[in-house]
Amino acid sequence: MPQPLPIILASHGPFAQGALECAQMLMGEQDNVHVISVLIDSNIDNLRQEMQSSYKKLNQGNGVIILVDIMGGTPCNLATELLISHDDVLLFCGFNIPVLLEVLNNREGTLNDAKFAIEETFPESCKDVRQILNVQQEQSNEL
Amino acid sequence: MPINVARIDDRLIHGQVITTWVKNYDIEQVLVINDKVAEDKVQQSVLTMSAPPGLKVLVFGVQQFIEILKKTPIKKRTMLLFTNSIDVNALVEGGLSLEKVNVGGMRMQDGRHQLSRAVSVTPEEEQAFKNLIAKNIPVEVQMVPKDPIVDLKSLLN
Repeated sequence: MPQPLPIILASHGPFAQGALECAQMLMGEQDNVHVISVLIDSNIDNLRQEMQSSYKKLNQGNGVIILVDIMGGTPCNLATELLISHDDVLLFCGFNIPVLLEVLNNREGTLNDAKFAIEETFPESCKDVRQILNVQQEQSNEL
Repeated sequence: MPINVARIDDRLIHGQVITTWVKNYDIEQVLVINDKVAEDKVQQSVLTMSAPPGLKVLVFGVQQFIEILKKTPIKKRTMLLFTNSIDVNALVEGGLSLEKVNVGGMRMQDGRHQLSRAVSVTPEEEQAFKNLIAKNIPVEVQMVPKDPIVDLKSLLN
């Protein structure tokens, strides 16, 4: 029985922590998720250390999923250092709640399964709701 | 020789730098001046990758950059990024002229004492700041352009 894929969530400020709490409210308690919050006064070497040690601690041999807030930010840069030195890291930047929920629902497969789930979910996740509403109304008028 | 921004920030290129400084000053290239990074291929790859498309990123050691400056004029709109005041002072003593120095962050670590939330210094780093100020180069603590500027001199004893 493979272990569920571990996840590291990292962001500027409390976004990653908040995202996890949001997901847990919807899906219940989640195991093997580590949150890294980069604060204004966080020391970069301590953060690098936290990123490296949480990867080592969480990895059960099937790899680690890392989701970060924005491309080029400190959370992303530190995770990229891991990505360069390890083949079993899946790193996505710009994650949102639907992506996180999808990842949490796809932890039983491989890193590649998680990658496809993310790539499928993301483009569908930020939508103009009025437009969806209008399309539905048009459809419901048809008999 | 237009150095548009000279900044000390131990996170180097990261969210704040990309989303504010580079945009506000229409920076075309970021030159990272740091001996450790100049020898670290992993960090260099990350720095180059973390830059948005169109922004050039180059990494130099301190002495290496002093030599380059003697021969090569800077033509692009440029941001210099340092991790500490000692390197800035070395460069100024090596002939670089700076209008002012922006300090974004030198975070607390062993041997440093805190001047403000994001700025801490060792005695040597403090002295380097004093040297810069003595050369009439204003040193301004400011995380992002929207924050108020704090004159670093007012934080020193």
